[in-house]
Amino acid sequence: MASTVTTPRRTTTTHAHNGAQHHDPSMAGRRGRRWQLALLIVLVIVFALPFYVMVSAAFKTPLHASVSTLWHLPNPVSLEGIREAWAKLLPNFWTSIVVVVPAVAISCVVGAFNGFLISKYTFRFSNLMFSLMLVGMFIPYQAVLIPIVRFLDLMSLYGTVPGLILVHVVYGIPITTLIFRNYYVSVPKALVEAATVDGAGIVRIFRSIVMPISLPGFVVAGIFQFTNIWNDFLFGVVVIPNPSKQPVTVALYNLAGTQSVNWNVMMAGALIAAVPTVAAYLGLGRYFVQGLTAGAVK
Amino acid sequence: MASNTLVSGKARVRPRRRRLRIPAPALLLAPSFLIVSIFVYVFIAYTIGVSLSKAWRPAKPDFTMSDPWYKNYHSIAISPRFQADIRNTVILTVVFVVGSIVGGFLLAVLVHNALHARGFFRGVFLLPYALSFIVTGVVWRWLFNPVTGVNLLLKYSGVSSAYQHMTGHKLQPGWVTSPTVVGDISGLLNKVLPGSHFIETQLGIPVALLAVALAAGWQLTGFAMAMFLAGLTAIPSEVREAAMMDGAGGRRYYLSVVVPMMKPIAVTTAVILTYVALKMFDLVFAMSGSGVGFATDTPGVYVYETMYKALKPNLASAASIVMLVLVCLIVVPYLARHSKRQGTD
Amino acid sequence: MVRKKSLAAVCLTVGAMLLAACSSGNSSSDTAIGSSNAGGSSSAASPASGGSSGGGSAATGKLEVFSWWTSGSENAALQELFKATQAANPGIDIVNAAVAGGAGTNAQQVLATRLSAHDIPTTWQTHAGGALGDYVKQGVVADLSDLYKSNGWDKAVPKTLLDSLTYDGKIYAVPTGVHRNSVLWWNKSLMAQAGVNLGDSVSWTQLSDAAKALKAKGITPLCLGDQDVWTAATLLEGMLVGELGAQEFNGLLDGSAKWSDSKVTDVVKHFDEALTWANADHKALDWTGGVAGLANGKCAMNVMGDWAYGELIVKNKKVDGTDFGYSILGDPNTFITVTDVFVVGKGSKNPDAGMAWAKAIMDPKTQTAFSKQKGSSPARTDADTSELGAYQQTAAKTLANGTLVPSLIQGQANIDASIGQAFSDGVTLLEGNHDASKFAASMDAAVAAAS
Repeated sequence: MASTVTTPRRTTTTHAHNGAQHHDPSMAGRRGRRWQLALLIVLVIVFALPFYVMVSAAFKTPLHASVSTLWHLPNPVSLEGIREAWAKLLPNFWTSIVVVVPAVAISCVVGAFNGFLISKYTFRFSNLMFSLMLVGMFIPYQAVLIPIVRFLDLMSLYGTVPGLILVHVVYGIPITTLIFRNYYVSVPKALVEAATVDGAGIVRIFRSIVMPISLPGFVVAGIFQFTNIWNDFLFGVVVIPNPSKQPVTVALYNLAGTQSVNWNVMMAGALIAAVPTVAAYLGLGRYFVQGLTAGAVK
Repeated sequence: MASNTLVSGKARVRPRRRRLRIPAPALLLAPSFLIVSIFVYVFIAYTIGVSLSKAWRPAKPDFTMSDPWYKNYHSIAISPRFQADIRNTVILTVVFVVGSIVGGFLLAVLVHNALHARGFFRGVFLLPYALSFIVTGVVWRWLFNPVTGVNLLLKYSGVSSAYQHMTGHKLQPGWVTSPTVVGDISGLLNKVLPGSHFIETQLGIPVALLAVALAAGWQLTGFAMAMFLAGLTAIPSEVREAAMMDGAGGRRYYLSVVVPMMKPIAVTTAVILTYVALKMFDLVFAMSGSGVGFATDTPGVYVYETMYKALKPNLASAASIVMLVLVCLIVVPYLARHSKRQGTD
Repeated sequence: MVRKKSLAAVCLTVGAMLLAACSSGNSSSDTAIGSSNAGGSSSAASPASGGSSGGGSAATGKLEVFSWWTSGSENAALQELFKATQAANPGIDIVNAAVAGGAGTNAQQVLATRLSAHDIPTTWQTHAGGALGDYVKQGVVADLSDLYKSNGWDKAVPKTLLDSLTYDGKIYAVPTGVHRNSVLWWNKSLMAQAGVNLGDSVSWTQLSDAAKALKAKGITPLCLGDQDVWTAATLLEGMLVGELGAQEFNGLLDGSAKWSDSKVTDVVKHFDEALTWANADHKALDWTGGVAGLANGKCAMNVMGDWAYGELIVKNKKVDGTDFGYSILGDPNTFITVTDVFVVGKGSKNPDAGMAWAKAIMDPKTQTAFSKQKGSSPARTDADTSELGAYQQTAAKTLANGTLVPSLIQGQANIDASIGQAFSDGVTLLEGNHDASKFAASMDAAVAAAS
């Protein structure tokens, strides 16, 4: 460390040698990298602007949390918004967790199994079945709400948490299947073939050979599903009519009235409601990128 | 579809097929295929029924057909609002998906090359994805306010005066409030296609829509970045070294080596982003509503208002069926082809 | 061979799905018949019993109240209704099932799915007019005529208002309060600066003269926040009623007058001109932004329903008569109504609770307490208004004696809801193409299509 300070020139060279791109020692490259860093910092600032607006509005008084003063720092700083949003969102956090955890887990496992079948076995109609399922990704949910509710009612699942989980799982399957199919395409076929020769059935191969190497895929599909389901308003509000049992995103929407909205409460609520997703990204961010590494590149 | 099986085992498969033996993988796929089919095709069938009905209502599901049967489809086809919606969806999806992929790739390269704080940069760019659209829509509406929003930043940062100095024009973008539609080809279309006079919408790019695409891009570019970042990390260092040895420095290395390698990721990302784009109802609704002359209206908003404000579920259902068919015609064949190509090798 | 088989498989799959679709349709309509029968008998019995006992028997059990009031003054007003219901029926268990967003559209969405599953709330909020008529046609709301007659409510509610709750001679809803739409609010000091004096009534000439005077002083004449188009449409509605008069305006809605008449297109052109007076960022603000502009002195005049009064006083802390004043476009005796109403579900689990709810709402004391919170005028003209603000007292007087016009843009008129949608769609297009005759043609077509 001391040598770093006293001999700057040597540090640069050492750095270049130890760095990831030690094979690019030209002056132009180093200048380019400095230029890139500057660009990155500018981009970070641009990306952070909306966050600044949100966070500062969350700590303003209702009157100051408005479009005309959006750049101002909160003055006076008010915790009113955070407090009110917290009190109103808290009861609904539990429902969200109870819905999101199983819905993500089931849709990922089913998607993984489907993706495994489609990528590793060739059977008739596999591509047709896959394409027909993919249509499910693009269905306009607004248009099918009434059939959904009637179907759930028929199954005695309307108004229940399992009903909401079912809807999220079924509409999640197409996209998780797609993600896992693309992930498994990069897994060598020989692995599966060897096990088949040994007499293992499909389910056993999946459970004991494919699942253990699928963690990265689960992180990718899991985070995608987690974000989608956590932020869902439509299914939450329609499938569960009882407000005390609705997910937190519905409660977030309910912070806004019809006539006049206190934006400090709304922004504070948005920050609070985003805590679990942000935590998921920060905690799993490393795996997220690793997961994509193993999966998306073939 | 079945060409793979035929090529791989013509002689062996034939007798089995006569006994109608369903292969195990198909059986195992069947349960999820069936439930997804119910949730997709049965529900769509129901919606088609509504879209053809004269006066279906939630508590009085009367499927009596309208006269003529295509009446509701005809009504939305001649509606200037729905025409604008189709135009907007196409433009918004293309600009948003292409923009997020290009932006995501560039961000990924920058973050990948950063020597320090990669995790921090990755986090900052990914965070917007965690937020609910309904609130980010409001934040962007504020930011794009032509009087108090980013235009103030442009003014105080000196960008505005620099622009005025260079071009002689004042830089005062209207963002979501802009009524301008650039590149209108309606006149041209009328000459080429004589029957197209029923299209009352200007077929160009509404400037306001670009502002919406920018906001959506802010939220999803980080996701695209993460996808590409993974791809970049996966490139073996030998590949880079080999390229360097061949004398392919910087830009050429990226253009001729990296970009082709990223293609599969780009396709998956494009599909996921298209999925997101078509569900972006909340963002647009909170950010700009329908816009001046429906410049930022989307089919989602149209369906919602027609169904629950105008109380015409038959028209709303017809609109959703048209949208679904259009999307399926464009996206699904591409996906099927792509998956087949990947499946064979 | 292969192709043939795959075709057969596709046919089989599609067939199975259609079968499933049919069977699900059938069984749901079975439950429909079952529950509507049950609902029919019980709701037929309960108003009679409610009427004869004169409110003596208290309801018990669950009362599920479905509304789009989730926050602020709306929620406070809703709580007043809960308090009154609970006071009269101590054994009642109120479940507040409110859904926010989209000016009630989200709530409509949830309600539609619930109705389709025959999960009918005890009571729900709706708009008088087209939306109410739609529920009546679907047979999901209880007839309250007997309650009205036995309690004399039909004499306490203004006739035009009552008409908007009536279908085929039967009354289907109870009003909690009435807002006045399209009031012209103005900033007092800015008007003084420009030397403009506005009276109770403002004509188009006076309005455009005022705008010119304000502009000459460098003041933005019009405050507008029409990110959601209904706010601009509120201005147009006020101008149409003001310049044409109530009778002519109603004629436009029932088809007896034409939108393409030059008298009407002139007003539309005036509206188009008025839009040029507005603040530059009007398309990026919501209605509260327009009101805030007036309060902060950034622009001078705003046309908005009288919920703006609460926004001015409570949120922007302005004083009526000192900081701002108000006028009516055209005849000051004309009152464009936006009525908050509740219906009682037919076939809900606890219809008695629904009737108890209706009775609590129609208690004159509840009416006053509700309007005090909400900023509206009591729908019962015999309710005590002495505790209300000065503005509300004036409005309540006009409501009792003036000419009432149900608001088109707020879906209050007894016409097909699609006409209101055509109106707001027409304004959206007009803001882009400034073509009054196209607007008129689309409105004439919408009125013709709905009749």
